[in-house]
Parts: sequence; structure tokens; C-alpha cells
Amino acid sequence: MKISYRSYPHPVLSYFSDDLVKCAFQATVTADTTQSYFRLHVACLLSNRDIRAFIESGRAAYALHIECSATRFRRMTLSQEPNFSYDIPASAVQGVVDVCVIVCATEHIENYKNSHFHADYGETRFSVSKGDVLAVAEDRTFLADNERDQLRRIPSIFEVARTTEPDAAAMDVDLMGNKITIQLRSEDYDRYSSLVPAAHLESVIASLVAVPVLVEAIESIRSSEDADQEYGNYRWYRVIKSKLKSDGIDLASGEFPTTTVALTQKLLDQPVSQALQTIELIAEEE
Amino acid sequence: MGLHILRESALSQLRSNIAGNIAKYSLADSWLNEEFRGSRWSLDTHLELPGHFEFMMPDENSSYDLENSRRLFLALKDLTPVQAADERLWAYLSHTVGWSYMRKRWDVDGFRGSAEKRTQYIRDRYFFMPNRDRALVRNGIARLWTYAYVTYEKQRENPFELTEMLLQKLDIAQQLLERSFSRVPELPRAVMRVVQAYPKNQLDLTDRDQFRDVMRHVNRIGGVTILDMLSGSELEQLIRERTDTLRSRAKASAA
Repeated sequence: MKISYRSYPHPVLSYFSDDLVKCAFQATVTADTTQSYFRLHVACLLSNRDIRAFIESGRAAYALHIECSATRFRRMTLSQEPNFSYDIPASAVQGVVDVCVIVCATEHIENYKNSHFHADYGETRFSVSKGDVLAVAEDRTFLADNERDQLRRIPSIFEVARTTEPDAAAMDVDLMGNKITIQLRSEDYDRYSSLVPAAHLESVIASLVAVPVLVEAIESIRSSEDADQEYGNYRWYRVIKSKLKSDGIDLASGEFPTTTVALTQKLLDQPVSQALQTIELIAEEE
Repeated sequence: MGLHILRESALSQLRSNIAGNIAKYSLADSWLNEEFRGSRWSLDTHLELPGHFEFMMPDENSSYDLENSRRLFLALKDLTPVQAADERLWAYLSHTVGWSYMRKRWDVDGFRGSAEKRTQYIRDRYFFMPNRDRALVRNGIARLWTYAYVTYEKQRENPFELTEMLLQKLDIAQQLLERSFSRVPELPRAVMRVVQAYPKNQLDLTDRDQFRDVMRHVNRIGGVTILDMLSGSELEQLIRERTDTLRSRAKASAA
């Protein structure tokens, strides 16, 4: 569930409106990962005394809402305390998980009035139903990447597939799957398959096949308005993001320190250097 | 019988070659062994499918969606959400165990449309469509499991009673399950309980327009109220706010 800008029938404390003034509701959410669960830690900061009073009296609560569209998993947990944690089973979510932290009414509140209402509301009081939002913090997402394949282990982000379409290009790429699929024409796929067992040719094959495809994938990420949303459900994206993060590169920032070509070489451990060395050796032997 | 899934490489190859393989989707028997020329295209899992498992074949009288939902869900009741969202599983079943069923239920021969549309049709029914949210209610086999999963109530004498309500008309299932609020755990059951509660002569909630009206009502409420906060009975009450109005209108029109 994403709570984007909207108008509510009653004033709501949010980052996108001034229904309530001179107060704020913020929340940070961090995630710890284990093999069997993702633990979300929530820390809320609410500077509105009236809403805090509702929480303390049990008429409202802090709520963490979690939703994973890929697995149809959706849950909400409540807390009377501003700092709390929640465990999501690793078997329940994969890919993009939408998280939002809100304050909502746990019972009907008649004549809701808040000392921080915008002056335009005058003395108006509002009827608030159970489940209605009183305050909302900014949405966020996290990428749930299960280290273990819930059905089997997946070792690589690439998959090479044979295409039998008569007018197919010599090589093409499909990014819409858990692995980046490299599509080769039938005769080239046969050649590729026969060359793969030759370990000394691995870097040459990688340079020919994996490098251009990875360049395409990273360029697609760079040009995406929201790469997490567009590709977050695919395992190849989560692997690349994680590898880049460990090198201090944040995909979400859109700022890359090098060209895509240079980045690709780094991700694949400099295949062009290794390939040239291999070719040099082969040439020397002839 | 141990349940297999497609290898990622096999899935990739099949997805990449739908257009080239269209004719094979009219074959009487599964063709994957020939496609992969003896190389291993499937993997063992730790899941089991009963040895006697089979789908009921659709005929001119019925698609038998309810019976097949019941059979499949009982056979794979313990799937986790991540397992149930794995394309390798459902694409495997669509192309092997469920092949004859898929040929009857989602016949490619009878599909009228361009080659591109036909490719898309096969992709959506035999694999996963790009919109992963809807994929589980579009894939020909996954949808059977999902329908039962969201409506199963084990405390009932017939735990699939609400599944039966859902499958009265395909439009209802699609209208409900392709909306994001259908992921609220209690909501699909609450909706079906309300549909069940009204005799058709008072208010036919299986009617497309009536049902859509109710869905719009739930969508409007969900924009303000966090539906997850409400119990099953509270959700039912919320839905009845609209259905009671519709019934009054229907009564007034009839008078």
C-alpha cells in the first residue's frame, strides 16, 4: 500500500499537506535479514500532543503496514510504543516490499479536534472511524532478497537461452525475469554450449556475451524513473544493487562514479583484460 | 509423487520462444522432452503432489474451475507465499501435469487474434504476465490455487463454500482479485459472505454492474480507512452499507 498525496475527509498530519501545522510525524524503518525472517525496526517521532494522547489512551496506535505485490502478502501490526519491531517470514515476501508507518484510530472517535489544525478548520470537529488515518509518514520500500531459493538454489544472474524465431537477432536480452536472459540464435547457442566447458575461454565468452547484456541492464536501470519499482521483483536487479552498494554505489541516487562500461567491467571482474590475455596466449601458441 | 519445477534456463528458453513454439501449444501431449533434447529441464523440490492427482477436464457444460481449485489447493495447501509466487512451479505444471487440462481450458487453437496477441495469451496463461500482481490470477494453473487460497475457510462444513461463490462468474473473481485491496487477508472472504447473504431475487451481486458498484465502494473506503484494521465482520458491515442501498434501489425500481 502506498499512501501518496490525497485529501482525507478529516485533517491528517502528513508530509504532503498542512492540515495540521507546527507539528510533524516521522518514522525510520530499518531491516535486519536472517535466513528465516526479515526484522523491521520502526522508530517514530510524533510531535503532536493530541494524537499522542489518543495513542496513550488506546484510542489510536502506531501502525506498520507491509505489502508485497509479488507474493500478495499484506499485513499490519500495531504498537502503543513509538519504537517497535516486526518479523516478516522470509517465506512470505520476495522483491519489492512497500512499507508505510501511520497512526490510525483503533476505535470510533467522535468530535475529533486537534490543537494543531490549520486555522481554516476553525472550530470544526470531525468524526473519525476505526481504521481511519490520523498521521502518515513517508512511504518507503525495501527489497526482500531471499538468500536461499525457496524451492531451489539459483547460482547466477544470467541465463543463456536458445531462440528459434527465424528472424531473431544474433543476440538479444530479456530483463523481465529473475535472471537476465541472453537469447542466442540456434546455431550460436549450440556453439556457445560447446565452448562453455572450456574453462580457459570463460573470460572471452563473458566479454562477448555477458558484457553487452549487463551494459544494457545497467543502462535500463539508470534510465528508469524508479528502478526499485520497475525491477525490484527480479533477483538479478537485487544482486546487482547489492554488489554495487558494497562498492559504495547507490543505484537509487542515480549518480554513478564511472561510465556504464567501466561499471560492467568491475562487476564482472574485468573480463576484457582476462580475455585479451587469453587471446594473447592462444596467439603465442600458434 | 515428488513435484518438479522448471529449471531457470528452461523457463527462460520457453518464454523466449513462445512465438516460435505456438504450433506446439496445439499438440496433444506435452513436448518438453523433445524441446530440450534430453538435457535436464526440471529440478526436484521438497514438495509432493499426490500420485493420483489429476485435473477434471472441462467440457461444453462446465470449466470445472471450482472442482479443480479444490483439488489443486488440497494437494498444495502448504505452499508459502514465496513458493506460490514462483513462475517455475506454475509454468512446469502448465506444461506437464496440467497439459491436457490447459489444452482444453485455455485452448490456443480457438484463440482469435493476431500472432502477437496469441503469443501474449500463451504467456499470460502458461507463464506469468509481466504484471506480477495479476500473474497469479491469470496463469491457468496458479489461478485455481489462488482462488481457493483467498476464500478457503476451514471451519466451514464445506471449506470451499466461498470459493464456489467467487467462481459463480469469472468476472467476479477478476473484479475482486485484480484489485490491490483484495490482498487484505480477510476482505475476499468478507465480500463473498455478503454475496452469499443476498438471495438473487433481492439483489443479484453476481451481476457485473452491481458487483463493480460494490468494488468501487470498497475502493473509496479503502482510500481513507486502513481496511487491514477491520475484522471480518466489520468488513462485511462496511460492504453491506452499499449493498443495502443497492437492494433498496432495486426494490424501489421493481415497485
